[in-house]
Amino acid sequence: MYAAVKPLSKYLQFKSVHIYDAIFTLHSKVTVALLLACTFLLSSKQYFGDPIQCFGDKDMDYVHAFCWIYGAYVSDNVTVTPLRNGAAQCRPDAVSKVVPPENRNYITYYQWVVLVLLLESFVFYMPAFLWKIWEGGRLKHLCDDFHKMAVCKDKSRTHLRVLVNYFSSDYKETHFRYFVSYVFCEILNLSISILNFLLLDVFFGGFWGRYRNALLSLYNGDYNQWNIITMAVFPKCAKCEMYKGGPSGSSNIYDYLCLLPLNILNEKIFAFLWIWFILVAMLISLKFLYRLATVLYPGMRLQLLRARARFMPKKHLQVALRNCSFGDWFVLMRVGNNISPELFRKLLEELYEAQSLIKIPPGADKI
Amino acid sequence: MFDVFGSVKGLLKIDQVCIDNNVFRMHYKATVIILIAFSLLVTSRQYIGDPIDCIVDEIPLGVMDTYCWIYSTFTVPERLTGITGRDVVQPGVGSHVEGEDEVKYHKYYQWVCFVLFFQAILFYVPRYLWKSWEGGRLKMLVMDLNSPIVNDECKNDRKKILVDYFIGNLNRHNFYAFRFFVCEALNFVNVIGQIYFVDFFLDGEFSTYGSDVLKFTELEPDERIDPMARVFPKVTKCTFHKYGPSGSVQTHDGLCVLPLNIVNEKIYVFLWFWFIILSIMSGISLIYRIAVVAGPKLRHLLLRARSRLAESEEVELVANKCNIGDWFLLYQLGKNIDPLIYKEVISDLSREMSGDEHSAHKRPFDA
Repeated sequence: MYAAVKPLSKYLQFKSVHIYDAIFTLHSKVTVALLLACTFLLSSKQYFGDPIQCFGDKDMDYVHAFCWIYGAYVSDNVTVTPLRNGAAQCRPDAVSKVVPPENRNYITYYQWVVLVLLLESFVFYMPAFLWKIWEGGRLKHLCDDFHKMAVCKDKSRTHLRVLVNYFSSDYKETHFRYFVSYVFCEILNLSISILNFLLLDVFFGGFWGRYRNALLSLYNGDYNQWNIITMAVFPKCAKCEMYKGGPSGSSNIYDYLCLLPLNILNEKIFAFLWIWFILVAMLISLKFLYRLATVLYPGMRLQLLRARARFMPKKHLQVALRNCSFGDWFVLMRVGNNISPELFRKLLEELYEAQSLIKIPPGADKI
Repeated sequence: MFDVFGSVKGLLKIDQVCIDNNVFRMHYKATVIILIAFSLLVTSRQYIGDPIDCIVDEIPLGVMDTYCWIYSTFTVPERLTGITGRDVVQPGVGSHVEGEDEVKYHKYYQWVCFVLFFQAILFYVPRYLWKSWEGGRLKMLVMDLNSPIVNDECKNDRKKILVDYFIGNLNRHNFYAFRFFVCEALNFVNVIGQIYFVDFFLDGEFSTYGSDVLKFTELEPDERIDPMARVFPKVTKCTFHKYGPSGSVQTHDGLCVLPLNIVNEKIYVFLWFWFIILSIMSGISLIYRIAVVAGPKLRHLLLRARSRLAESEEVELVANKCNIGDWFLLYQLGKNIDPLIYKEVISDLSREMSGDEHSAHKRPFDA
């Protein structure tokens, strides 16, 4: 387990420069690591054995393959009476004797869970990947030296000068593109979260509603209810029917009882993912609202920058940012997140000095 | 054996720069390694064999094993006492009437390896947080001063940078220190929370497990109930149902052996003592931390103990000038820098502080 999960920790390692903010990391990288870990658990036979085990007399390899691909089924209107101690048993009378074809609920998703999780992990990784490409190492160039040299006075001073020069020159076009692509990635994150809700709902047939009830019952300590609901979504015991031609020409029906051991893991994985996906979706939508607010209110942008720069006088900041466009503000914020607040304040002060030397062209002060 | 634990070797690596303290290390190093090693031990089939083996009449053994693995096995608490071989088959395994006698399901058996691994991750969380908050500041400050052999020029250079940094950023490290204190508190909360978590996981058996095992060794042999056999039975019952040839439900009584429980019972005895010791140690370190925050006198004494080579008046001057954050950083620095160099740093610092009396007071407010 440790050997298999260890490579995943590389997604969570610290880089010297953070190009993603915390929520972005949570939404994309941490989710990917979690999904891949789940995929690994489900696909390793080591812990739960073969994914399907049927009870029959002979030709069992054929039966296993047949029941695996054509899907075992459960009856859709069986109400299991749970046992006193909360353990749901795989009794044949609970699975019901004869189920007419119209009442059969085929467990078609069982063999696809691993692939769906893998696909989801790719999709969740996409925004992070895109942003990495579009970002192109700009932030690393701007801040990396500070990490090595932050105490060394003269070196940090020369680098500070370079940064001041950089921010005084006109990069509006580039910074605007930088900002827009970041926002695009955030929107992509949000839409992936929403799409993921729809996908799981279609795939498992009313997943969100059912699991909400299951988790609520778990919260109340009602294990019977939890067993009943999870047995409906992820049955561990199922029926399987196979036909074979008999010697005189009409077909024989063979009836099997199949065990689906992976579902004891599935029910727990998806209980966890339910919480995780909702949490992440909430965070990313809050982030989106925050982004919207910063776009709409210039005053808020100023305040945010000021909080980062250890409460520099407001007048000074306004002068320093006189010539600063929207994208410039964003890049400045990202730089502020990656260098220490003391240095950032120094940078803004130098910007202020540089700006106060320049004559103000009329009508140009709009933050 | 070496193959199994070879992957843990990577965790034993010691950092060049120590950014925390020994109690903190007990959490993220010792405990994490122990938990992961246990988790590996439980999953390695080569020493203990299959995790479950059942015997039953007329049912294919593969199906029975899987069935008993996913629908947990049980014991009968009333049959815990009695002479093995005459009254009962094994402690807890004997005749019972279905639906009438009380039975105890052992649902945790198949989750032990995952839970141990999950606990290891939880123990790493405070460290991860602190690492990300710390952001390499201490490493930056130490540079190469931890080795005693540095040439003079380089040493003076670095020393000057260090002293300049402290003078320039005096009173700006409180946040840094408090984040560390939060992580320490988190460690304590984590240990206590984990004791409750394992207690929940083992159906409320863990909180008194270690003391029960100790008590057990002192009791008379014929009246004692082995707590290890109660919580981790090695032989259990398992009942399988299927339709018989004429269409009514047959009950198949199975006997299962759970070989892994000989490891589990020892693991949890060890963990009981380990968690108790760990929580006491973290509690003490928290009290120490509160004393340090509350008492400037104590800070002074600790700093003097850390820099034994320095003059005591100089240390006193520095300790009086520093607030809790500066003191913490200075103290941590003392752990990492060569003592002789540290002594020089302290004396330089005291000289700067006494000479700079007036400007040092003003510094946080002016530009």
